[in-house]
Amino acid sequence: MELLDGKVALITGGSSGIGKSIALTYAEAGANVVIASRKQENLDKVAEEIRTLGRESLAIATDVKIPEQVDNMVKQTVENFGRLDIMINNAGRGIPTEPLKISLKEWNHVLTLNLTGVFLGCIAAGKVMIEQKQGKIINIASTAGVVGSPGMMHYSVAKAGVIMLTKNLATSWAEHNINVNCIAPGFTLTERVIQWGILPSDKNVDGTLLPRLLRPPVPKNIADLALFLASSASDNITGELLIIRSHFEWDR
Amino acid sequence: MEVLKDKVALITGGSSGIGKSIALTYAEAGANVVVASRKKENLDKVAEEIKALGRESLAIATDVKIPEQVENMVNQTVEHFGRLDIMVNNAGRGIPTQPLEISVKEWNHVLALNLTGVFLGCVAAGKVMIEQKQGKIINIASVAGVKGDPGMIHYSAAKAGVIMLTKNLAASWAEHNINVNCIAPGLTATERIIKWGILPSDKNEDGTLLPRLLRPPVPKNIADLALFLASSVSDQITGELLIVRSHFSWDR
Repeated sequence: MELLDGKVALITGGSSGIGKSIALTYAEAGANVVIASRKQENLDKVAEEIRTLGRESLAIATDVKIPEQVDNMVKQTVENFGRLDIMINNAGRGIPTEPLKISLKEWNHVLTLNLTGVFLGCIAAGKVMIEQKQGKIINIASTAGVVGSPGMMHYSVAKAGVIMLTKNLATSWAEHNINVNCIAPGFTLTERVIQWGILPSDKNVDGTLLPRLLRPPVPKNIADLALFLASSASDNITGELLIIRSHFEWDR
Repeated sequence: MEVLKDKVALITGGSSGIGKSIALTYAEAGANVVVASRKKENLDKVAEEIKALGRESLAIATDVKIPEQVENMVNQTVEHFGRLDIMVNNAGRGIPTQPLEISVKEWNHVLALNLTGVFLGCVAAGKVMIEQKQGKIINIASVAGVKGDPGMIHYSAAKAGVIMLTKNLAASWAEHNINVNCIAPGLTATERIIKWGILPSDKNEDGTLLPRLLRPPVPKNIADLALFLASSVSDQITGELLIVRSHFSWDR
């Protein structure tokens, strides 16, 4: 039996990396998946992959910093599918800038994208889910919001805010059968990160692969955790932070 | 799909409550399950239920406070099944005593059962898993070790210790492909708790059931999380604390 059979999921930042992996994992589990990010052309490719899996998909170009666009994204989802079961607020990115060099403009941008964008997504989805008397919201935070990240202080602060937002909304909406949880991935082997070439070798000196737990997670690992949180097996978990980071040294 | 097909699991405190639910959930997922607790007659019943599900089971009377008994429990498991894949250190119990009334004897007993017992189980299982170059250890802590419990300060301190023990062993054994995580259940509606009659009503004044998230979890909810942690989908999660407590007011 498909864990998410017939469920409707909406994933921001769904065109690449962790968001794309969650979208495809949910589709494989039987969900119809709406994906949103800024560039339509990137989204369309992922929507095609979802349809190839036999599920329905919408691709909605959205800037999560803009309230009207977030409202529109949720509205289109509900108009098309009649409901919204699972909201994944995943869109977000950091900028590596030393503390004294962060301009006010950059600070505001990073906070708006990574914290306010999540707030807007939660509220838009929450209104629908309160009407439905059920729903699941999963916010993608980061270990930067748990252990800190001095080289991306604004991002780290925003992610800590996402964790607290999660706890508070879980409290407010428990009576409406809405689960709100967050996942904090550690450093994750996305295509972008691999391209940056910043990772240490995943091999020992003799060429053998490092133990699994000493290598960073891949997007699929985060997606599997997101699947657990979206399924009914986690119906009694809410307001919690679930960290996934292997034992990769950078995140401890 | 049997996510634990042919895995060998050992669960302390496996004759009732959360431990029994984990044992049966693992058996339903395809595992062979060894259950341990102090009273053989209670264990034999659970072992019979596991066999009725078509899986193999051993019932080993064990006091987890006694090192030789813990080692014997692990030895018997490995002698019978050839391996130990999943160790669940679940045996434990609190005693509701006000701080000034806790005798040193009672303090030592609660620490020995709830913290030292987990340490002994981890080390006995860890030795086997290091040889195997793989394994998963799941320690059952408690929300008492997260937010505190002034009415059971020894139990609370022991459970906080379990959480830290988990993090440390995860760090030590990551290179051996051993995942070590802990689950902190909030107050759980076990048969014992229900018999105590201490739970508030699960109904509204008009007789309707309270929303799911405002009612405490049941053992099966904890077991489903334990299943997630035992399966390969959580292979990159280690050293983490996962809390399951609904939004039941006593645990927030």
